[in-house]
This record gives sequence, C-alpha cells and structure tokens, in this order.
Amino acid sequence: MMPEQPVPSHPPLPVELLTSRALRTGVWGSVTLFLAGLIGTWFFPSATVSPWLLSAGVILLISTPFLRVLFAIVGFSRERDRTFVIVSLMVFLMLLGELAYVLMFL
Amino acid sequence: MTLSTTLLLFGGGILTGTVGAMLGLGGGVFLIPFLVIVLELPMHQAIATSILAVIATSSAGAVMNLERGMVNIRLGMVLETATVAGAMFGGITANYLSAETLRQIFAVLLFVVSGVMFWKIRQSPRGDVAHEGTLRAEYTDDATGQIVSYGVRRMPVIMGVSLAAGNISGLLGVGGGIFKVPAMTLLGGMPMKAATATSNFMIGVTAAASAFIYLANGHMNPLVAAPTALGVLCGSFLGIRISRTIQSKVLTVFFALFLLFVAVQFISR
Repeated sequence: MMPEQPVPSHPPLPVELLTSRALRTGVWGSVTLFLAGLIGTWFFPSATVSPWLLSAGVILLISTPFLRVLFAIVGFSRERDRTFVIVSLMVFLMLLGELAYVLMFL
Repeated sequence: MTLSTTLLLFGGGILTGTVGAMLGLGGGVFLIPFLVIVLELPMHQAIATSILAVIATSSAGAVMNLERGMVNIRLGMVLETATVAGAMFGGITANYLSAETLRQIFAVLLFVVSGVMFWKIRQSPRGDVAHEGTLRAEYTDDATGQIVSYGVRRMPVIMGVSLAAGNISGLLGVGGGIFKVPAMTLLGGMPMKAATATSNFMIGVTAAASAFIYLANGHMNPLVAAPTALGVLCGSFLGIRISRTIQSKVLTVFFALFLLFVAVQFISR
C-alpha cells in the first residue's frame, strides 16, 4: 500500500511556493544541461557545444541558491513581512559579495 | 578523461549519496574520501566537486520539504546570515591552504562526525518540543497526522553553531547539517523533522557562498563535477526511500567505524 501524502497544516505560502519553483527550475535545468553535455562529450566528440553545456549546467546549479534567496525576498514582500525582506536581502547581498570578491581578486 | 572514469564518478556519486541520505548526512563525508582515495583527485578539486553535489541534493530535497510546509524558512534565512559569512571565509581560506593541510583538517572532521554518530545512537528521540521561543512555525507530522507547533530557543547559540558549520562547509565541502541539526533540536527545542528540513534547505545556500570561489580558482572541473552531482542526486533519492524501510543502529555503527578507518587513511597518506 502506498503511503499517504502528508497534508500541509497550511496551504503553502507565497514565499514557499516561489522558492520551491525557483529550485525546481534550477535543478531540472542543470540536470538537463549535464545530461546533454555528457552525452555530447562521449557520443558526439566533434560537437564543440558539449563543454559549454556542462559549464552552463554548473553555473546554473550554483546560481539556484541565489535564485532561492531572491525569490524569498519577493515572497516575503508579497506577505508584507518587512523584517524578513531585510534579512533575506542581507543574505543575498552577502552572496553578491562573494561574486564581487571573485570578480575583483580571482 | 575516459568514459569508464565518468561512469565511476557517477557510480561513486550514487553510492555515497545513498549512504549519506540513509544516515541523514549530506554525503560529502563519504564523497570526498571516495574522490581522493579511490580516484586520486586533488583535495581542492574533491572539495569543489562535493560542494556542487551538496547544492544539487539540498535544492532537490528543499523542493519537496517546502511544498510540504516542513521548512521554517524564516529561521533558515536568519541562520543563513551566519552560515554564508562562515562559508565565504572558509572558501577563501581553503584556497590559501595546501592540500596536505586540508586533508589533515578533513581527517579531524571525520573523527568528530564519527563521534557525533556514536553519540546520536545513545540519545533517545527527544519529545520536549519548545512551545515558547521565537520564529514560531507548524507542520503536519506524516506519521501521526497531527499538527506540530513549535518555537525556537537559544537563537544566539544556534547562530554561533551555524557560523562554525558554514565555515566547515566552505573549507571542506560538506553540508554541516551534522552540527546544525543537533543544535536546533537539543538547544533550540525544534522537532527533528523540521530541523532536518530547515538544515537541508540552508546547506545549498551555504555551499553556494563558496562555490564561485572554487570555480574561479579552477578547482571545479565540469567533466568531474557533472557526473558526480548527477550520481549523488540519484543516490540521495534512493537513500531516502531505503531509510523509510531500514533504520538500523548497526548500520550507523558500521559507517561510524568506517569513517574512523577513512580518517586514519587520510592521516597516514
């Protein structure tokens, strides 16, 4: 017998739905790019696009948590939760700080 | 790189992802030794590969947990201010440390994780969920169908543990959930399921805080990282399914001893 799906105690909030959508898109997008890149690398070695597809998959996957935080900011602002808009914004700015460090020093 | 190496990376990803998910660990503590000892990858590259795998499993798991209302997203965001800062510092530091030094620090981590696993076996499941505290949330328990409502206590201490866990994540490429989850449950009074879901939601963001640093330093090879991340993703789904049917203390003891053995291997190399 299949286990019953648990029923959430509340309908998913905008912030939960938005962030899960961002994650789903990022994960499936990068999985597709990885598969296409690996198939291209091993079965169509003359295709020059394969390394690009693999790199794009890596960058999309690393960017997914950035999107997650960005969508959380949008979700909290839809819920009019100003405190958590600020907290999420702080996390997002710190992640951008990492990018700035990479661009400036590496 | 040969096709057989790609398949070995994928297979190793499945194996370490399955074991990690069965034991409630991110899998990095098994993946990095596999990459370093079996495939003889440089330590920095193994850490970078593990970070990408952590992002993949965290993101996939969080989709399910968010839609089920298990994640305390507000708590996650507050703690991420600490873990992200810790991870950035760890990622920057790792690039100034030699592979030898990182391997020795990783061996110490394996000893600690093994110790935590032994300690957790001796702990009985905690029933004293905090009814007071901040960042209150609720979820429906799958097993009982009841709504569980809780708050979070001792936030400053949990923030401190999260900062350390984030630092370890950026430095050594593991999720750090093994430290955050006990802090949230034992110190914060959170139910285990909510703590695990919230920690899983957080570790992807934490890992992303150092991922671009490893990528820019040339440690993240897409030909290595892609098949490994795919394998770990498959393995983590498999491990979650298996852990619903098999929950054995003997298994935990076996893998805790296995980690001790791996730690000795890391030191003696």
